[in-house]
Amino acid sequence: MNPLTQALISGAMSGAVYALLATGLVIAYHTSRVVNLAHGESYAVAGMVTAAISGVGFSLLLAIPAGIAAAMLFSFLVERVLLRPRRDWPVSGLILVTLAAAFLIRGVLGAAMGVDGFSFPRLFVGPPLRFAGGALPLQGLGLVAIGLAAALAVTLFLQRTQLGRQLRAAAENPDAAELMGIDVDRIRTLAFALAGGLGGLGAVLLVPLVSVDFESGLGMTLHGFIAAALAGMSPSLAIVAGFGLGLAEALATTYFGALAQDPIVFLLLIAVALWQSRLIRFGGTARA
Amino acid sequence: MTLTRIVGLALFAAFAAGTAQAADPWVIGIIAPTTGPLTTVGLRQLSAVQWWEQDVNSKGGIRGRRVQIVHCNDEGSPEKAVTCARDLIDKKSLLILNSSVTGPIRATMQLVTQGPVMITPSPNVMPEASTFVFQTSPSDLALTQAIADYLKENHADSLAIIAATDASGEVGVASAAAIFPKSGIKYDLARIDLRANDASVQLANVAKAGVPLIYSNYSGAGAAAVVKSYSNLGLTQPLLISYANISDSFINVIKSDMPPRLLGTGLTAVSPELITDPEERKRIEYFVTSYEAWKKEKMDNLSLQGLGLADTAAAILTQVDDPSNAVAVRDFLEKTPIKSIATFRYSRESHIGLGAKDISILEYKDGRWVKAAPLK
Amino acid sequence: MILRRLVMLLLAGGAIASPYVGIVPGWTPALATAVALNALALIGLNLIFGVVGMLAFGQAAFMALPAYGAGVLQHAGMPLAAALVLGLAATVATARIVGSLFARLPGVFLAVGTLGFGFVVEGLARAFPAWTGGASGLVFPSGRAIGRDLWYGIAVASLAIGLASYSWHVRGAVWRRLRTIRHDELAAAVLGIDTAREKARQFTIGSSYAAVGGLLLAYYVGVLVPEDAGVNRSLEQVGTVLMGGLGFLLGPLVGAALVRWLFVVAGYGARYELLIYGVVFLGVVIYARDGMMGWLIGAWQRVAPPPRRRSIPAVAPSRERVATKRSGVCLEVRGIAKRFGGVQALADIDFEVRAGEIFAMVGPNGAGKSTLFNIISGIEAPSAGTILLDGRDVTGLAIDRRAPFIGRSFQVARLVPELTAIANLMVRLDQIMPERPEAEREAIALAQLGSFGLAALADQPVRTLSLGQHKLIDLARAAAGDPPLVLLDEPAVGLAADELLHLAELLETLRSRGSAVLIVEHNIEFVAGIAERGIVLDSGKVIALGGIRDILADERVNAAYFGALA
Repeated sequence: MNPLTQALISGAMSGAVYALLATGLVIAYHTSRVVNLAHGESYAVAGMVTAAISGVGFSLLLAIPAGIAAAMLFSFLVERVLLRPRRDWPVSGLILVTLAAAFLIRGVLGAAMGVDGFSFPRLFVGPPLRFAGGALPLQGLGLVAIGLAAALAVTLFLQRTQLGRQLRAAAENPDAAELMGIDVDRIRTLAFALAGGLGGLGAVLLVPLVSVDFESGLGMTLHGFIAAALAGMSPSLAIVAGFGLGLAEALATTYFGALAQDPIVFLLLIAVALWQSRLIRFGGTARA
Repeated sequence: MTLTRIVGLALFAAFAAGTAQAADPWVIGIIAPTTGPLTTVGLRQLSAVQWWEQDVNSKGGIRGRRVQIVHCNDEGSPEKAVTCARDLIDKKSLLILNSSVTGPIRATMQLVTQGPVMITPSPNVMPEASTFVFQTSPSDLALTQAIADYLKENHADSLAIIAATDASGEVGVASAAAIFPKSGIKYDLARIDLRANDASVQLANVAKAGVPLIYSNYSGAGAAAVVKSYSNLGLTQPLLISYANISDSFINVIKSDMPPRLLGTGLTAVSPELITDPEERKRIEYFVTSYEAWKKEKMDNLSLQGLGLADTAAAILTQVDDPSNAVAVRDFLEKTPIKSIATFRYSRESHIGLGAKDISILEYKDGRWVKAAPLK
Repeated sequence: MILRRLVMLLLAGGAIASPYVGIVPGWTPALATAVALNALALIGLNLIFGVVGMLAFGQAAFMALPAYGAGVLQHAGMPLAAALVLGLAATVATARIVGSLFARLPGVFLAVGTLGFGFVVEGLARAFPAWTGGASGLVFPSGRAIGRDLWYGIAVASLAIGLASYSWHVRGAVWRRLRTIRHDELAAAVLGIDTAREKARQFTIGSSYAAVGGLLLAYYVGVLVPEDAGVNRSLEQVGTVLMGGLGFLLGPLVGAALVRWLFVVAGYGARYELLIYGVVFLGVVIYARDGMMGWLIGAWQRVAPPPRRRSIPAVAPSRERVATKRSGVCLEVRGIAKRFGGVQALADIDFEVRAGEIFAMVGPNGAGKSTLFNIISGIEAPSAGTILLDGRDVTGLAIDRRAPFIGRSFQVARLVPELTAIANLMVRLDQIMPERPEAEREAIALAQLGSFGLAALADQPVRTLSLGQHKLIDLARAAAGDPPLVLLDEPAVGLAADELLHLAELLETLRSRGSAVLIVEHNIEFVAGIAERGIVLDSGKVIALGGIRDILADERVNAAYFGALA
């Protein structure tokens, strides 16, 4: 076996999930200025709902769309019910609201489904692809391909379509966007639902390779945030940052051991953050 | 509803819960993480202890007094565990059962240097015989020895080990270094980060052709990634999972990627037909039936560890004249074997109640754990 | 007043005694000890995040570092006391380095830098078990010798010292400075604050609270595990501080007490524990947008409205006017050019402004007026040329260092809404005359407000005032301390006719005090009425310079200016 190939495969699989989570976190952040601390919960919701539906015997083809829909619904509700009525609040207060929403949904998942881990069968079944001394499971291939495609699609949507441009306009200056006739509320809700969908997609692709429980969301929020922050909260960089983070982790573990992984990866993260921020002055306040 | 009303209601509910108890019960404290990453461990053991509470009280309690279990959630954090332990001591707990993990247990041990007796099923603590702490599990060294013995019985001399970067992984690595070279077994070790989604790199590094057995020391739900990566790589060697993962919930998570042979180091009691002592066997069979009817959930290795805690508490309440006298309780435990999921035997020299003889290498076949077949 | 103090004293006493009374279920001495020690550490995060607005995710790492440092040094054979002192010193030094790297950066970069730092510390603690105890934990045996009540006493006393030192630290000028940075860093820099240095300083001070609290906590708990340094705990702490209320003295204590107590009480709910916790947490959060302290203070003020603090003096206190009336050339702009990428925004700008004159800068939008203004105030560096102030070359001088010479207003007033009018003025005075006592600066600020006809508003938080009043306060602030040069960016915008008259009078006052006044203004009539001389810019070039009437009459000016407007 070739450790480099295997590390790249492993890193790409993690990277796809990070990219999905980071993209969602960034688009929600851009439309609302809120770092959604309940973002990873969409992963947990989708994973748990899919596991529950497939667990009672329904087909994955039903369970997976239901799981993703549940994640979108959750994310939509966070925006519509909790954030929108408080749009005049300071951002810090809204961040706390999303944290509370995360606690609440964890409580709901725990009470409804218990505290044990769940998983469900893979969508892509078959012997792994073997190449260059590595093995890539079909589910992993699906995860990387679909994850990348979905994250790219959202990024292109933001850059190329009318609605996407409105979304970005709403992000940059909500008041001006409102004056231009853009329905900022609708755009925000759309961004949150889309973000939830991406998190849910990550779950239905990854969970068959790991497990999900009522508290899986926290780790996913953190992963997404690290990748998003690495991208400087820029939507066009979120995919690169996600895959970069996944690959850096896998390579560090392979060549320096799991105990060295965090110090190496996060020193790199610090270096990247310093490099990205080298030209920023005055805390990024707008010019006079 | 106003905030004040919510807080008021919460206060009232909590207050009512606090005062509704009957007078003078036997108070037993239990520290168990019921939220956070160790929830599965804490909740299983807590449930078994709570089963015992209702079971013994439905039979009139012990020596005419009810048993009251006071639970405190430490979330696996040493700081919260210390708050729990100090509160339980203030509430005059006769015993503290500790279902948490290494760090929190080591923190709370420092608070019971004058008693009360603390009983823990964690195999990683290995308390000194001079303390008031007793361990109802075999030590991690004994668990490792059982694996070495199994390999030797099968004339195998090498092993691949995957260990996590948490405390049980750290203890596991130390045990491996202490046991396997002595038994003439070579091993390759790879660590895996707790947040990892994939273990294929680690497995590719250590599970080389010719290695007859892969041992995943990783405890907890994250270990599912090891089993699934094993399946992704199309490996064929038997996979041995850790002591703490012999549970239905873990099997449930990996069932669509079941290795050709899944082994585990568990208490022999997980497979009750292997128990030879009729008293132990009767106790386990009663627990299995009664617990599963009461909780509507299957018992597993973790529930059995909870039962071990409960039975130890029951023996103390039944047989020690003054269970509030920590020294008397300690002397009792050091002198008296206790029949439960196995027979706990402590002494003035050792506070570890089980040993290699209480452990079996088990194999998962047709939905249950049985004695492992020979390694091919 | 006495009654107020008495009530406070009773509340404090009651709070300290509360865990022993046993009225509140689950609120025990052990929990209160943990809460107090955590609150001590969180004073730092409240300073960094709550007061200065820096979102730091690595405070748990700063809590664990001194304990790990002390543990490692003890392992290396150093006696306990020396190890503790060195551990703390090493942590403060580390905080200084992390602070100087990241504190100047905006939110997300600081968050990611400190988050990364937390992971590095947690990872290193795991990776070297021989030194740090690894994942199984580092044991601190010394704490066990201390009993429950003594620990509670230590925790309460150290928290009290922590809170007292915090309120001593963030009073007066420091508070005003930090709130200005939090609200608007650019405005803070123009007012003379070295924001990068100040933020790094507060980050170091805040992290020192975390270090002391964390060290005590490690000895209280007796075991330190890598997760204690980790990101989950840091995140929990950010939530706790938010819950308590950002920037309130008691925020960390109230937040920690509420979060930890709710956690304990929710535990009575067995398998619904997390659900109960979530519901109550959410309930509190959506009722209290400024955290629990914001809610409590709001409620308290409804019961007992705060007294008016100041009686407005009828006459401004007499003080020495500018002793020697300035004269001669104040500002010299020599050959200034500015390129943005390939665009020549300014080329060959030369002019001078004399002390005691009002000098106007006019020109159509995009002419380069704002860029030139920014170059003079130091916000942007010129590509070529020099700026001289009173004959001194200031071209390379940082913005904040120019504050003593230049006062500047903004097109849209950049005041700190939560501070009172007088406090907004004092921010500038604090910076340019730090050697004078607070009372004197207050008197000067009040006099300045008085001469702008704003004395009655002195104690009003700016957010309660009208936009026109904002404009005047911004003007008063720019001119506070009588700087040689006052830069005014479209002062007439948005003012009504009577307010314009008032403004003209004020500018005349400034001029008569000997300041050079440089104004950018679109209102040509207004400019023509007050300025003596001026400059007209178009497409980055000077198209006219001289007496105001001459330049406004210039044909090219009319073509460029009014042509562009039409």
